[in-house]
Amino acid sequence: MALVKFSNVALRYDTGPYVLHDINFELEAGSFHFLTGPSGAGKTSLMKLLYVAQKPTRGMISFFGMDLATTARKTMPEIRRQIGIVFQDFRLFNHLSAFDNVALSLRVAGQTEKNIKKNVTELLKWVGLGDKMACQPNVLSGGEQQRIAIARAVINRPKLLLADEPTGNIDDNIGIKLMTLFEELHRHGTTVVIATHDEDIVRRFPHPQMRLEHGTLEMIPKAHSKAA
Amino acid sequence: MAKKALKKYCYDISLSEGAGAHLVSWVTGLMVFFVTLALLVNFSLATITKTWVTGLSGALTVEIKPPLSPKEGGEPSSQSQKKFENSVHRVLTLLKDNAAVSEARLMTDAEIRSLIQPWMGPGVTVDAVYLPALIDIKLTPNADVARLQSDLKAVEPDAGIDSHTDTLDDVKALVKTASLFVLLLTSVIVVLAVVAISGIVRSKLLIHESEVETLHLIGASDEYIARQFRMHTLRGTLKGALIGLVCTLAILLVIGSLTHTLDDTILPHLKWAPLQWLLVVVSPIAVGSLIAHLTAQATVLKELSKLT
Repeated sequence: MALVKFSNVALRYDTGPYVLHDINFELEAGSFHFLTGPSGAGKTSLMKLLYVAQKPTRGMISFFGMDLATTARKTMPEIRRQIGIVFQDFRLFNHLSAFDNVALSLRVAGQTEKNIKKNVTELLKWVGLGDKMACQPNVLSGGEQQRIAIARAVINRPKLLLADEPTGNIDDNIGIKLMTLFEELHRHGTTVVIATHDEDIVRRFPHPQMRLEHGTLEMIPKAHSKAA
Repeated sequence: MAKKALKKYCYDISLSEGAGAHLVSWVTGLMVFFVTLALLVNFSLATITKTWVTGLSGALTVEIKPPLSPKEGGEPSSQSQKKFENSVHRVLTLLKDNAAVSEARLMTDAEIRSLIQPWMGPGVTVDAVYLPALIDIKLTPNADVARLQSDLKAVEPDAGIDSHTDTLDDVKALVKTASLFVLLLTSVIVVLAVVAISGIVRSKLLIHESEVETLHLIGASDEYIARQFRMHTLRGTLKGALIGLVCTLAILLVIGSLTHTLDDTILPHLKWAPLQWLLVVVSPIAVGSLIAHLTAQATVLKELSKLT
């Protein structure tokens, strides 16, 4: 069964022109995709549909076998908790410590404080921030902030991990380390979609591409991707 | 421990930061201040009315006209003087043995003159005025006033009987109107507070839109997000309500110290039961907190329902 399925999905904002049309694809569990395309092609819009921040104007989207159109509103948080998101601008809470930022994902899921302490400490150590758990994000570097954002996205062991331009604001070396981290998560069974315009990253890590041009999606298998 | 719990529920969204962080405290403080004041006014009116009504309703005044009215001029004849004295005697004898009367006292001329003097104005002496006889009657509880009045008319048809009914009715009507006005004012204050708190919560949602959206996207339920606003509003409400209450009680203290020298008949001293004090202290805070709590909850849930 496909983890995510888009059938004839189209999107437009209010009465504006369609930014996405006839989007059809399936993401199998454990897959790794790059979402590529030029600026203005609709990557951000497709990401919004993928992290359920936006409803499609038409078409059908299903997550984990559930059709979004017929899913009750009160069930939506449960679906969202199975999707980890690394936002382009991180969206960290600057008044909270690194620990509390990562703990958010567990707190909204109703985990006990004992579990939260154990899991967050472990994960922050794994991403190399064990000594900065009490620091607020605004005193940390861009790379460190990004690792907090990733930790927050994966702490819940999501089935689907979405990252929007994760290498956009960091230097190449950190970008490569970051991609290695995503590969590691992928090896642990997480389905990963990374939206990027970084051709170098796409070349270095040969995974299938979802290429958007003028609001239309083309699925490029691994063998035919540019890296191949 | 409590601090830890508050931290857990209050600080995911930085509600204590940014513009208007303490507006809820101000609004609730003002609401509690006015509502407590209104409650105090209502209790005071009830106490004052009770004192006045009790003082007036258990009493009758009988007036026996003087032997000669000032219009007629001259000295009263000894016959008419004798008739007047007999009338007074007959009435007093009737009252002495009447079951409806607990006490009947013939007022002295000096007492009657002191009652009349303020109406005559300065420079006019009341010595030349022929005074009526006034008998001040205190009634027994459950006295049959109608029967007493008819007995009095039987022995002295010309006697004037004042049961103070008109005055009592006027006082009751005035107090009822004042109480209704206070109630209306309280309702307006509460409605304004609800509108203000709803507006504040909405603007807070806008200020913290990004944080709310992030929480929403990482899987927070509407209830989880609403709880943050509710707890923050509750804290602000309690703070504001306490300040509002202290201000009202301080004002009450000042008014009390300014009016304690007034005559008891003009402004009876207010003695409230412990339950009334409890109502004054607890109910504005409890009602204010509940209103703020429910308003915040309803506003946030309504706004969140607009999100995908």
